[in-house]
Amino acid sequence: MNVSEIRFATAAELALALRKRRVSAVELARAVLDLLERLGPSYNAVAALMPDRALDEAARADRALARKDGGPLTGIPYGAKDLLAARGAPTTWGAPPYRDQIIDEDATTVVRLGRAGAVLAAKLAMVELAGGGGYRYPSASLQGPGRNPWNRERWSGGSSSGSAAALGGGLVPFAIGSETSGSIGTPSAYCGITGLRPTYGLVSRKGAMALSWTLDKLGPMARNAEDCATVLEAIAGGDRADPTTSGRRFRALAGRAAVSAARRARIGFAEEDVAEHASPEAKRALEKGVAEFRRVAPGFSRVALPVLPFGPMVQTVYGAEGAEIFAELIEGPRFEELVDARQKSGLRAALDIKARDYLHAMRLRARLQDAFAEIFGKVDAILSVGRAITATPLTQPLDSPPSTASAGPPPNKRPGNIGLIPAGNLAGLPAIFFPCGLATDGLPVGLQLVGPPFSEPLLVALASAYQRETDHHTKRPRD
Amino acid sequence: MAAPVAAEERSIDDPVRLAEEARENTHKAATELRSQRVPIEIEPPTVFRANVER
Repeated sequence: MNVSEIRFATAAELALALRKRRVSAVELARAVLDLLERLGPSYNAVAALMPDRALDEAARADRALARKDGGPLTGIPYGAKDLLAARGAPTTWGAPPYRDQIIDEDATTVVRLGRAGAVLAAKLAMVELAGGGGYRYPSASLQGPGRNPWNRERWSGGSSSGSAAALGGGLVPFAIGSETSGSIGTPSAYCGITGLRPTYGLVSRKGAMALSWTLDKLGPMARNAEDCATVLEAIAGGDRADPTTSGRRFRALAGRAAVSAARRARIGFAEEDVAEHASPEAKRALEKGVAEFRRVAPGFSRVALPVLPFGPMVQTVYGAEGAEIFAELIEGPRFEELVDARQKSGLRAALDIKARDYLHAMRLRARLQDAFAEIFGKVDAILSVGRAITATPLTQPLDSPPSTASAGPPPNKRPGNIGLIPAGNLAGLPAIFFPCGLATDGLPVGLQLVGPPFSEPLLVALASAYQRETDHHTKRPRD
Repeated sequence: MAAPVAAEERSIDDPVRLAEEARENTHKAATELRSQRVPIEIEPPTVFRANVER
C-alpha cells in the first residue's frame, strides 16, 4: 500500500489492509508521520508530532495483528486535539502561556484508544483555550491560523482547527476533537469531514482541558459516519475519574436494523434554515443536500426551536465557567501572552459575570431541555445546516459579521433551527455533521442531525445511509 | 440641528475599545437573559444531585 492509497483511506479500509497484510502498522504509522511532518505545516494542523510513541504503539499493534488479535482500530493512526493530555508531548491547549506544559499522564480517551490498538501520531492544533473568551481572528492559536485544505487562505474552523484540517488534508484517518459550542461542528462543516458530538456525559473528559464543565464534550472526527461510530464505541463509557459520565455505552445499529431505522426515522426540518440563512455561495449545495437526505429518510415534518436567547445563554455559561477555570491565568503575569486581544478582553470581562445571570442561564437550559423533549416526542432527529456559510477568509474578523457558532440569527429572518449548535450544546444533545457538497466558491458545506440524549446509534445510521447514497464525503481537496 | 457623530477612530483591536465592548456584551447578554422569565411557581427543583457513591 503506497502513501497515496493510505492518504485518504478510511479507518475501515486501513483496518482491512492491515489484516490482509497489505501494510503493517509500523509502515502505516511511518506514512502518517511523514504526511503530518511534510503537509501539516501547510495547514498549521500539528501541535506536536509523536514519532517515538507512534512507532512503539504501532509495533505493539503489529504483534497483536500477528496473533490475529485486536479490533477495528488496531494499528490505525490518529491525532488528538491538543487539549487532551498524552505522554510524550507537551499539552499546550493552543495557548502560549502553556507552550511548555507537560502533563505526564494520558487522558481517558487516549487510554481507551490505546487499549483499542489505535496509534497516537500527533497532537493537533487548536484555538487557544478553545476560544472561551470569544476570539476575533482565526490566528488565535499558538500554532497559527488553521488553514483549510480546500483553500489555504480560508479558515479550517475552530476550535478543533487542526483535527479538521489534518483530516480534510488526508493526513490522518481520524482525530479526536472537542465541542463546547460548535468546535466539532464548525470545523467539520468547513473542511468537508464527518464529526460526531456525543451526548454530554457519554465520553469521559478526564485529562481534557476544561473550558466549561457543563458544556464540554469530546468526540470523533473522521472520513465518514461509520468510522466515527467505530471510534465512539472505543471511547464511550463511564469513568470513575470523571463523575459527569453517564455510564452508558455506544453500540452502532447493525446492518438491516440501521437501514430500517434510517428509513423509518421522523425528521424535523425548518426550510428557512437554508432558504433564509444560507449564504449565496452555500445555498444550492445545501438545498441539494437536503433533497438527497429526504430521499434517504422521507419522513419530514416541520419543527422549529423555541425562541430563546441561545447565544447569550451559551456565552454566559461557558464565559462564567471558563473565567473561573482560568482565573489564575487571567489574573496572572502570563495572561498577556495569549494571542488574540478580543479573547483576552472577553475572558477578563467574563470574570465579572454575575452569579444571578449564570444561574438564570442554567434555569433557561432546563426549559430548553423540556422544549427539546417535546420536539423529540414528534420527531426522531432534527436536520439543519452544519453551517449556513462556507469557511471564512483567514483575515476576516469572526465577529463582523458574526461567524462563530454561538452567534445569534439575524433579527430580520425567521430563526428556524439556525441556533441548533448552541441550543443542542446547551441541552447536552448529540449531533453528527457530514458533508453534502461543494459551494460555488469550491468550499465544502454540510448538514447536521441532532437527536435526543444517547440517540447516537440513530444519528450514525442516518448519516451512514446518506453516505451510502452520495459521494460528498469522498471528495478530496487538491494539494 | 444635532451635532454630527464623530467617526470611530480607534482600531477595532484597540485594547481599551475591546474591554469596553466585552463589558457591553456581558451586560447585553445579561439583559437578554433576564428578559426571559422562569416562573418560580412551577419550576422543578434544581438539578444538583448528591453523589450516592461517596
